[in-house]
Amino acid sequence: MKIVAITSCATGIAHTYMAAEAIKKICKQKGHECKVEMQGALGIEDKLKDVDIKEADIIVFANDVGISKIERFDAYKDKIRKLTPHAVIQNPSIIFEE
Amino acid sequence: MDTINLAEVLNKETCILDHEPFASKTEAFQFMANKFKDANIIDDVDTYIESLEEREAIGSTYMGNFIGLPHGKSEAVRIPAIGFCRCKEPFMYESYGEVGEVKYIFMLAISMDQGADHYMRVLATLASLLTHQEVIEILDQETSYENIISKLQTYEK
Repeated sequence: MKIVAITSCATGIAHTYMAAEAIKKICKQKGHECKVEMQGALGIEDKLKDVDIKEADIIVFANDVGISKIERFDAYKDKIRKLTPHAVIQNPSIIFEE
Repeated sequence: MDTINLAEVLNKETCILDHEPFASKTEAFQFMANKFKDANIIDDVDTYIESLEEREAIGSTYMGNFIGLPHGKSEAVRIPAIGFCRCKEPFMYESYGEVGEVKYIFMLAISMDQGADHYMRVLATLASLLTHQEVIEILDQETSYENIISKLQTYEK
């Protein structure tokens, strides 16, 4: 499967990066392709391309503050899983749960 | 992964090994904030603790896996830094309605300064490393600050 994710958090430094790493790690373990865009204190990093979003099987939002440029996902609402970065860090496999 | 210069943000003075377990999170905050003050990382203990509590009020900093990751962004912070405290035994850490056993406290001091990106990058890298069990083992077992820094710097995913 192809997974894409966006992580963000209030302070933009701890949960954003821990959640991103947790997602990358679980996808690697399970043999899935994965791209994670981080919207943290350092700005947008590893920005997802439109083609990544289009081809993704699962889109994970792991955010507790608003996502910038969210309109990119408007056409793919059925693939989005809305979670918090905290939930993803504590139990990364949650991203695969329906 | 790029080698990270963790020693730039984790000082020997704020790396406390084998401390007695704290009676509460509040006591841990006081202890660590005072270490930051002694190391000239923050100007004022109370102002910094206020910023920790502000963060606590919007979500949990108990990260599971015996880790507490409180972080405060404050005018009182002179330079972004990390404090690490390893307790001899876990203590009960309550955060945003969540309660868990914490043995490792990572306290982040985040400055208001937008020019601090370099340090913020190191803080972000450390946060991501904490999801790796091998890193937790280094933090659990190494017996000195110097060993922790050198093992973490050579750790590769």
